[in-house]
Amino acid sequence: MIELTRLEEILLMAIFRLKENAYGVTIKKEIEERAGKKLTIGALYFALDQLFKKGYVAKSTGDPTPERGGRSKTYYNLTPNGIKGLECARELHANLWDGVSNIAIEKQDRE
Amino acid sequence: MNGNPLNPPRLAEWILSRIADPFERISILGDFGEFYSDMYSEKGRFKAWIWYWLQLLRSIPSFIRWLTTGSGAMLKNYIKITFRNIRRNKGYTFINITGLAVGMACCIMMLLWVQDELSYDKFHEKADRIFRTQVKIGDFALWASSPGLLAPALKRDFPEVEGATRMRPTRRILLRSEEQSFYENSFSFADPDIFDIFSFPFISGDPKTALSDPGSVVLTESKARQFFGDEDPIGKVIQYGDKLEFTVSGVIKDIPNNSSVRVGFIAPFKAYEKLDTRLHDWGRYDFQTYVLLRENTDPQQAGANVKDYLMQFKDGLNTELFLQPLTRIHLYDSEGMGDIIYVYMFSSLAVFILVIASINFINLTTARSGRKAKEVGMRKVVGARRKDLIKQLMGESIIMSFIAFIIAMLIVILFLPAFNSIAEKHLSLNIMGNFQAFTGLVSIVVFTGIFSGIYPSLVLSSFKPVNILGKAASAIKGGGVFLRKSLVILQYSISIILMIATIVVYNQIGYIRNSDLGFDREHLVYIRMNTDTFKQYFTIKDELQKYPGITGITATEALPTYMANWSYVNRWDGKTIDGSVRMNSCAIDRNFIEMFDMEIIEGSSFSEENSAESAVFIVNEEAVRQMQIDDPVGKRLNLWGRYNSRIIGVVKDFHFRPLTQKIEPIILRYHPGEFRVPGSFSYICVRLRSENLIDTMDKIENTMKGFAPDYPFEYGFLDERIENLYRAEKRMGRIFGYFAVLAILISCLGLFGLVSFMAEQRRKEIGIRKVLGAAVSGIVMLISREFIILAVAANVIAWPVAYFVMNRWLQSYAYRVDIGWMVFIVSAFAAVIITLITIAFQSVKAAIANPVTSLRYE
Repeated sequence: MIELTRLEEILLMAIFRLKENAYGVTIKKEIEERAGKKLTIGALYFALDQLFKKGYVAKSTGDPTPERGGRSKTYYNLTPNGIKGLECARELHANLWDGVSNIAIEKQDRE
Repeated sequence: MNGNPLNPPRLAEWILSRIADPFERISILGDFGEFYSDMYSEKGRFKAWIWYWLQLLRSIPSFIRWLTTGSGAMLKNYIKITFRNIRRNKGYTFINITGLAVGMACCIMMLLWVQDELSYDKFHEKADRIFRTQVKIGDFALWASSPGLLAPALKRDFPEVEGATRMRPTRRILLRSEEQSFYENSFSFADPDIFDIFSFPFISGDPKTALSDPGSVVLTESKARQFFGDEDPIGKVIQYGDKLEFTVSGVIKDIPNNSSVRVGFIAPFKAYEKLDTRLHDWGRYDFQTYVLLRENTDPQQAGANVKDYLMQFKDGLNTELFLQPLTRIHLYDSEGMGDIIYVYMFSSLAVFILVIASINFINLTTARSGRKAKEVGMRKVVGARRKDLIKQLMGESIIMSFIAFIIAMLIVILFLPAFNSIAEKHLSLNIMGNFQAFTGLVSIVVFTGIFSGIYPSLVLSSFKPVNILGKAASAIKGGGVFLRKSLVILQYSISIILMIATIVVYNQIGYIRNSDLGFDREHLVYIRMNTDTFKQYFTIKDELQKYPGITGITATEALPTYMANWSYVNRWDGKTIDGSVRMNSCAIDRNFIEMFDMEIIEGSSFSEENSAESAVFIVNEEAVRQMQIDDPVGKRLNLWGRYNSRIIGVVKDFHFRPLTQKIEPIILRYHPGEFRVPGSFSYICVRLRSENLIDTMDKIENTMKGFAPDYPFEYGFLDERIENLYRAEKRMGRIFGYFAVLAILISCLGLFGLVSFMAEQRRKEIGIRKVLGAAVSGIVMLISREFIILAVAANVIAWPVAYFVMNRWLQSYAYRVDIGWMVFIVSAFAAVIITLITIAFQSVKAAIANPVTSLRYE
């Protein structure tokens, strides 16, 4: 059973969705769009480094492109451990929300 | 900002590359760049730029967290332990940090001073191409004056000379605007090239044309305010004495304090030509000449080219011309010495004080290593490598030095105004925008931290855990006893050298101030003559003589603080030598010799009989010596081709210049005719009785005002003026004294810490000794002996160094004290006594302690 923090979950999910194209810029954009979470680049890399150290993601170096000033990218992709983490998260969510469709209505019903 | 979307701000990138994690640096920079170029094409350069910087700044906390995690736990522990140690050993930390802080503060102030001295004249954009001419005639020293014709001639005859100007600083002159009038001595005549050569920025007016009209004048901002208030000075008229009139054509910024060319007014040299009829004399060295060499000219080569230039105008005398770099003028005199010696002295003083403070740190840390050893042992047992320990211990000392640095900065801020007033400087702690100063300060901190931390950390980290934690624990008494002793000796030696230096400096100053000048300087008032008082001199003399408070009145061309009107004399009766004698000359009134209480050793003084009509001379002994005549009285001597007069007497040598210079030959000349030539005399000297001085001065002032109501009454006391000659020396002496005392105090502080530690360490030993019957005095001796030996040993090292250095310094004085053995004896005694006082408290405390308390646990 792997328990992820919310930030870790968001990041892993973003990397998962981006598939082959997960690197700093795209990850940042993805989490901004999907989760509305604005991280600074520094904070993003710090968090990614934590994921790497925990063994949820692997890194590979990509090709440099001109708009990056000729600097190469670091691509991230999920390790089996990372995927397992996401599955656990999903399971947790499912268990937690099982049978609850709308909190507001159900709360009213109880009263 | 950079125009290319692919080029983000370079400074920001640089910062980023410094702080980002090394493994991810490239991809982080890339991401920043990619965002930047997107932003650039969408929202424009400015927004992208702002974004980059904001993003960078906001990322910094994360980067720092990133860098410190991992090793973070240990780092936290190190810092915690450091502060815990500081708290636990308050006394010891206090000694360490105070010493370091005071040392650093001294060092910072010294370095500010040195930096200021070294910055002289460097603000000129072309500073490295500007030279002042110097002339050397025969065997005499170089001097910086040159003929008035030299500057235009050099410019004409040498292609490598781009510009040249003469400068003729005038003596005090009365300047008048419509409303104001002031005596000014900052008025100078110069060629228009002056603004090409020097960087004097114009506030208004055009540097190219400002001096092209002979009736124009350029003045500084503050002089403009002084004369014209807030009005626009351009076009206003300034009266120069009674002869000339100038129209303001430009205003320049005030000339910085660190400039050796300092003027308030610059008028065209053309205007001066009207005032001076003897301008075309190549033998008249009354001007300063500055030249600007063309770019890429080799100064050596240029110097060689001009060297013999003056020979064509001279017959006989070997005259050489030299080019002295502008930036050397302030610190080097003609023999390559000068104030640079103070720069060396102060720089070494700064380093010495820092070393003394660091030694305290080293000694106290190694002495206490026994205590620290347990911590080190424990760390090693749980896996710390030696490298980690060194890092930790160095880190501790750098933290200490940083804390000390913050305190030092506060001390500097507090005491800089006081230091400024002693040093007569305008130093400021302007670190921001002064990269040099900033790096200087940072290197002080790092140097101190590393210098004082390196040895303790090497020693401590080398301990073997088995020894520390095992049975032999009590055997660790703190390592490096030998080194500690050597360092104490070093500390002592430096302090003793400073002590001796201070004593010698003060002795020399005292010697200068109290030596017999050959005349009586007490109760003598000098009054500047102006046109009116000169005309009415004899009437004034009669008038003043009526006052009972006045014993004598005379007139002179120059005061015996600085008589420097000299020329070469080569014709006299009974001449037996070849060549000429450099002879000073001063016009005086008939009663000058008596008034100044000088001693006539041959012939007679001036009297009405021997000098009713023509000029007569009295020479000094040095003149007789150099002219090599046996019987000077009655001989005739030719001065300037104008006087061919009899020598009627010989006066005992007297000092008419500062004591840095040897007494030169001088002629005191009396010629009744000179009282009719305006400007022949500059001062009226009045000898007063010591009673009712104020009353008498009031009367003199009233009388003088009565004779010359249009002029200010300007006077001074001769003894004060003589004192003022040595102001620079006194100032240096005082600064040196203060810092020497501080250095000694810092070493005492360290000594105190060391003694208290040793006393504590030997508590049991002392307890046992007392139980076995040792007397208090015996125990005090036991503790003190070691330090006394060190103090004496240090003296032996310090003496030759101090002797060598101070002897060198004294060479700059023609008349100087012997260093003498007394100084050394005094310093030795002082060292021993200061040691005893410093350690007395702790050693007596240890000696009178009740042995029961120290032994009860056994």
